[in-house]
Amino acid sequence: MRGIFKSYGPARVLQDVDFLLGPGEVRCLAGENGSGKSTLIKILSGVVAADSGTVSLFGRPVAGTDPAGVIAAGLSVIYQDFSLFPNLTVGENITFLRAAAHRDRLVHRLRRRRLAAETLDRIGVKLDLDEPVETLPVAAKQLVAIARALANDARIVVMDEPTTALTRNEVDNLLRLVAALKQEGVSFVFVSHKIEEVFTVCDTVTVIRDGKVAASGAASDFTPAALVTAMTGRDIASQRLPRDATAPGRPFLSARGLTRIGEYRDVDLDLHAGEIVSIVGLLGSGRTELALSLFGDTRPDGGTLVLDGRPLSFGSVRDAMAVGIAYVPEDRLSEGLFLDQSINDNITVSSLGRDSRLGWLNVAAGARRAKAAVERLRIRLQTVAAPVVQLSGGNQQRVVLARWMEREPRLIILNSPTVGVDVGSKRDIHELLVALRAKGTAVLVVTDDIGEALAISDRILVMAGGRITASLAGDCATEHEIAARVAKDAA
Amino acid sequence: MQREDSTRSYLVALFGLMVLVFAGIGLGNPSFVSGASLSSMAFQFPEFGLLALAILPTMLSGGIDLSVVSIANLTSIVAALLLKSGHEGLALPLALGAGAACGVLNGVLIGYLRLPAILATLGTMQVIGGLGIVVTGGPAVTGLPDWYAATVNAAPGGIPVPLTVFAVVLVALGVLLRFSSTGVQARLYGANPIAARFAGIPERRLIMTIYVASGIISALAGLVILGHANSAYADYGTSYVLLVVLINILAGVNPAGGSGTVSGVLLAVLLLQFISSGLNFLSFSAFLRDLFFGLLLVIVMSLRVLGGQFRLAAWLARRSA
Repeated sequence: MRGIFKSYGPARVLQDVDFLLGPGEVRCLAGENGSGKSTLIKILSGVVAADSGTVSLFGRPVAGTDPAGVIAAGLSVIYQDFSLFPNLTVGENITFLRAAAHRDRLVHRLRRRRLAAETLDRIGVKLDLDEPVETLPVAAKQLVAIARALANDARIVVMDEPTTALTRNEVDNLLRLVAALKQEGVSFVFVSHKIEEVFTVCDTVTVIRDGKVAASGAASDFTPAALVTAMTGRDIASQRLPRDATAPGRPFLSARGLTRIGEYRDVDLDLHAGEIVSIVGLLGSGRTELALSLFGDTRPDGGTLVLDGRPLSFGSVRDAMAVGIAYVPEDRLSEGLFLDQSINDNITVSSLGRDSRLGWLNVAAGARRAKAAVERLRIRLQTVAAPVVQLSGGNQQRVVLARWMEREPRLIILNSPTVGVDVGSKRDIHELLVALRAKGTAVLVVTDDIGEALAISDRILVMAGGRITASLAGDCATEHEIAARVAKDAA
Repeated sequence: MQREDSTRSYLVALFGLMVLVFAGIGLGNPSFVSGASLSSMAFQFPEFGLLALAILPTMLSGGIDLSVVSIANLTSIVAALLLKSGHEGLALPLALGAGAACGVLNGVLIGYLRLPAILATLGTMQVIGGLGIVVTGGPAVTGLPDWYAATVNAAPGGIPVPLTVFAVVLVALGVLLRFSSTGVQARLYGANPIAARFAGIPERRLIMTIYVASGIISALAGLVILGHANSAYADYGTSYVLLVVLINILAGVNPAGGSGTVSGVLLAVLLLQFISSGLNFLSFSAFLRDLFFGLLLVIVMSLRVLGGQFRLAAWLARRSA
């Protein structure tokens, strides 16, 4: 791709972008949300046409929009949601694209099964061909998506944020697979904003910022700090945020022997005002389930909860909210936000009572509060009347945070608060949590980003198999030590 | 593209279409715009207009209430029996109470037992309708005191009583949906029930409120119908069920929940009334009515989807920018 320009209306999205990829090369396409990297991928895959510039694939020019032609030529894009058919089996999903590309009119069941089996062998993965994809874990879905690309003779695989939903182990497996396929001459484009991955797997890096190539070259020529600077245009120190020296007093919320059958068991937990505690653990370790019980969404089967020294149990989310607990859910798109509804409503929804008398809303007061929150959290937008779906991931997450800030919670539980959020927003969100701590709020962060846990936590709890297996002081623990514990305790 | 804008532009288009249809029929037959014709229409549309308003809050919250006609009929039977037996003072409160009780039943099934609204209200449509048949034994309840029909069919100051009822409910519902916590919560719940739970919207109480409101508005429709027909019949207007769902779709209510306005319902009700009356005035067969309604719905939905795709493309473009 050379000299790519693209504008949408007055917005110039890409300006004079060059993007080159050789056989067997793994190139990282890095950039913050909104930098233009998605558009570049869309042009590459033939979904949208560039205004000017040339795209050529394996030496042949690609003109206009022809996604099917691009796929047939050997380029497959694996989007973040994998675009699989959940109700079809593994085998059907793997062979679907190829069948479509070859315009098969009849379904050659046996031939397709053989192809699917061969492809899975090629990437050294064992999966039941007849299992419906919807029952698979995320990591396996991704493998199916990769197998589908390969079954279609892809020689270039573009992966959009491939590791977002994966745990560390799964990421390692994925990266190994990429390295192996690279030996076979398959090229990869990794769209990512996770810095470590860039260095483990990529040969070359192209950084896009504000629609222009901000930096490009061999990965070995970059330091992590240089890469972050290129992405954000500013220096972000990756060191830990300052910690509060004050010793915590009586816990705000304590759990003793908290158990929910099949989810978590014997959890002892103390959350103090003015303290940030992180729970790190793999998917399925019970971390989300525990968080949901602390927010009253599910009821523990056993154990006790003590709040401000008084025992209590939550019948519903509203009971937990009434005592000052807030929860930022794991998936902001499906659980956190009302996507088509206004930013204003998304911010005020949990505190409507503040603007209403006898159930009647003071709409103007709500709008004022929403605007003030937008300014406080530096949410970038045109108007609070716009639907929240128009915002970038980082700004969307700030909207969810703003909603809870309006309630001035005494304990805020955040589940994977910075997944799919650009580096700058991530930093801002961390600073916000530190500010909350300074105001005496108890903060509980559930995350699988160990770097994040280390950056902000006073204490880090490791969760595995439904239990809390370790408690480490945030300022002594190292990333290595925690990663080792997470992996060991899960095994 | 903003949601508010797209809703507004759709309503403007709907208004334009309504004016066109009105003017077209008026040109075809000038007596269509005469006082007598307008007054006759003003007596007709509040009946199904009220039923359409009864469904609106349920659809806004991502549900539906298919039992509105059955509720209206049961209430009119309750009112008729009380009026006939001389308990005239009890007729109105008990009829509204019956409507509210039906709403509670729907609220329990949908909010507490978590049945899908379409199945729950399909069931209660049968149950409530069946109850009406059992109570009446089948035939219509007649022999009401004369004053009831006279009151409902009066037009003090030239404004028909049913129209006044419709207007009051329309404005009250509109204000409630826009300016009450419950109204905002209903819309947000319709947009994403999971996010609503995590945001602490009181799900069960909200559903209960919505379906009780729907039941009470249906009961008002029943009282209007009773005055019109001067009798109560368990099987009255069963074809209204789909008609009033259609009106809500035409009104721009998102069938999946999360958007919808009373002004849209008003425009859709008027549009269908004009078409229905216009067919008579232009000497078309009344048999064409359903065909026209159906075509209108299919065309409007297709245009909306096409419009939506264009907007979607523009949105995606901005999004990737």
